[in-house]
Amino acid sequence: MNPAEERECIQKAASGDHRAFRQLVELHSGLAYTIAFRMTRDVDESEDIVQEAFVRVWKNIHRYDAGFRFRTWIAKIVTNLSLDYLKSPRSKKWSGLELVENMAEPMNANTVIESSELKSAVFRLAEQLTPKQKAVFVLRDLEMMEPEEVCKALDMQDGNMKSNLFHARKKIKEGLEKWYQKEIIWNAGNVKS
Amino acid sequence: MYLYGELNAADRAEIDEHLANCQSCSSVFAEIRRLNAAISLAAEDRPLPPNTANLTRLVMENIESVKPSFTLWSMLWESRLAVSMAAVSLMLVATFAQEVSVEDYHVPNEQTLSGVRLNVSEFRSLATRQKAKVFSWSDCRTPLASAGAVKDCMRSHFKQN
Repeated sequence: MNPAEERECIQKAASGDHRAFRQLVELHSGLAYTIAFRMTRDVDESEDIVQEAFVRVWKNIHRYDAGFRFRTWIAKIVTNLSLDYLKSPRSKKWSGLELVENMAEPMNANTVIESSELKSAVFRLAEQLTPKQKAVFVLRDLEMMEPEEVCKALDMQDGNMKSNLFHARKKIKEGLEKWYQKEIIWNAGNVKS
Repeated sequence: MYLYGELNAADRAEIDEHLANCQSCSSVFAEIRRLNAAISLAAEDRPLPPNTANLTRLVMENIESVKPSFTLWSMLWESRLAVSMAAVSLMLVATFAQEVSVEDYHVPNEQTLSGVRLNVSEFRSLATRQKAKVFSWSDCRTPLASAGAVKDCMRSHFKQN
């Protein structure tokens, strides 16, 4: 769907056209789910957030500001709902010890790090970030949104966004360094035995 | 910021030059690149809903019971009523504004306001003449009168004056 078609769909949906809204849901539900899952790491919670997000979009679609990209607006709603979840008592909290224990152990004795292990390590480390740092990290580094889009989606000033991103990257970097060391020790032990 | 292309060209060139000549900084930069590679790898992993069709169905079921919370303004805009109402309001204002007479208010013959001496009798005379000009048109124009009837009414009024 090109931007003109999307705009037409939004206008139709704003006048109550369910079919046009369905097209928007089909187009953006993947993005909404990805952001929700990256924030919550919970399948059921992510599906609930996506449903709630689209209900909010439907209710307020006549207020849609064309100055925003539609995907940025969806990302904003999903991120806010995810942040609400992370602040709620029902969200799963990972302690530092659990994070280290749950990190995937290398399954072979090679020094080449399996990509799935590395991904898993990054996701676990992202759980250590504060909700704001996590939101910036997910939108900027994982969703690869432009800095201006991230600021709009999170209602953040540019400096605040960059500061959160800097601290998020620093924590992930430090965590990965520890993980690399752990892997080297584990591999060395395997080679000796 | 350097790695993510968030620096301007001048700052970037300065860092490029420094990295080419500084061993410790270039090793730090290599570490950062490794981090960046790990993040890029994580970004490639895009979690998708277990059943996209089912999720879409649930969303559509949810919105069936929810009506968009239209504001009064959006409803007016949607039905194009706002434009019509504005036009009607302007017509009413124009009609009634002409019928307001300065003679309805008690005005002393002369008074001084903030040091300015007002010639009230001259003002009243001008306003009366102005009212006489527009009076014939507004007086002749009634909602049910045809264009011909209004024209005849105005003609007879001018003949009288």
